[in-house]
Amino acid sequence: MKKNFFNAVILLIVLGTSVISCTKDETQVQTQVSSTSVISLKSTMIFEPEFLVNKDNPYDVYGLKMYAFYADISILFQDSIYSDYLLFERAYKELLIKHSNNLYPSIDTASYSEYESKIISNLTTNLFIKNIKEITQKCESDIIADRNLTNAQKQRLLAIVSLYKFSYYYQSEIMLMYATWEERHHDCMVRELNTIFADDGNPLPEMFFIAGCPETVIQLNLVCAWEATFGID
Amino acid sequence: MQELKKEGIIVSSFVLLCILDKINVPFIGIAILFILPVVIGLLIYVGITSTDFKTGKLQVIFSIYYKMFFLIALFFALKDYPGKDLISIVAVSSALLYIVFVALSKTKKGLILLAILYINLFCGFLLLMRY
Repeated sequence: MKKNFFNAVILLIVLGTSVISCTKDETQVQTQVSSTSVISLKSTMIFEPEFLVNKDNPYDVYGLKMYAFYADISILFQDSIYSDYLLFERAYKELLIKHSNNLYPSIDTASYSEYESKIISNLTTNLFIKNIKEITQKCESDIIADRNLTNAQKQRLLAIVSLYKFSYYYQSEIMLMYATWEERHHDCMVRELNTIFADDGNPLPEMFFIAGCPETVIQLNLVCAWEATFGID
Repeated sequence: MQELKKEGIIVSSFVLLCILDKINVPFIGIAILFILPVVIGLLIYVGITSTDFKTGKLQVIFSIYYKMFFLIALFFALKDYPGKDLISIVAVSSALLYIVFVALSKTKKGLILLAILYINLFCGFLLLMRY
């Protein structure tokens, strides 16, 4: 009996190894769906990014102008034709050209310091759609009041913060509208686990999570299943 | 031996589902989310109803603990969730502690072999899930 069990296990290992090691063909064959050379999209998507505008950040004007770009991007997600990656990429590039006037100006990152990197890193780690307004406005106020930064650095950071918060908002809205149940669930799990396993020097959340296994894992799974099904509100 | 067979079927079925999800078989990803708690529940049930539970409760609970962590580590690695490395380390550590515990208690030596088998099997799959 023991011999049979070990034979079964060895068979399982061989099967698993062979299946996973099967190399997937990286090159995708482009589908024969013809894509028009000029994209003409009329989106009915309604974003409401005005609440993100901070009067102290001059770059927020570009964030509002990005509305048109992301409204067209949302159409690409909606249209099943663009589930083909190559078609999507081509359409995306065309949209970038079409909306070149609606996008942010290029940001000069020459002599980008570690201090600036830390400020942006802190922002991106703690930013979620729930607290986007509070976190970004606090970050912008801190940047403006920071005496360690030169004027050029402040302008650069404000531009990056503005770009990040508006992109994050638009992408989150599109995700909420068009993502599948599994993608929404995965998004929720990653967000919650990122909070628990954050590299913040406090090991307690990680310890409580691991000590509470499997209840904590199942509970988180159910919470995210609920959120993916019924939304946050 | 009967418990070992049941456990083998439960764990290998979950591993098989993980492989199917890895090769993008539709709906398996969603199924795994709901099957994981069931598999853990079955593992606990098989452990508690085994004949060994009456003689060595601590040993059985310890074994359920490290097996459960291996399943969770595999689930985290499959879905590429944050904290997957930490969970994997906890799983391997608890299995190694279990080996030490069984060796010191000088009871069934076969359980050490089983723990080693778990470590080899799951470490292999955890590595494969990364690629």
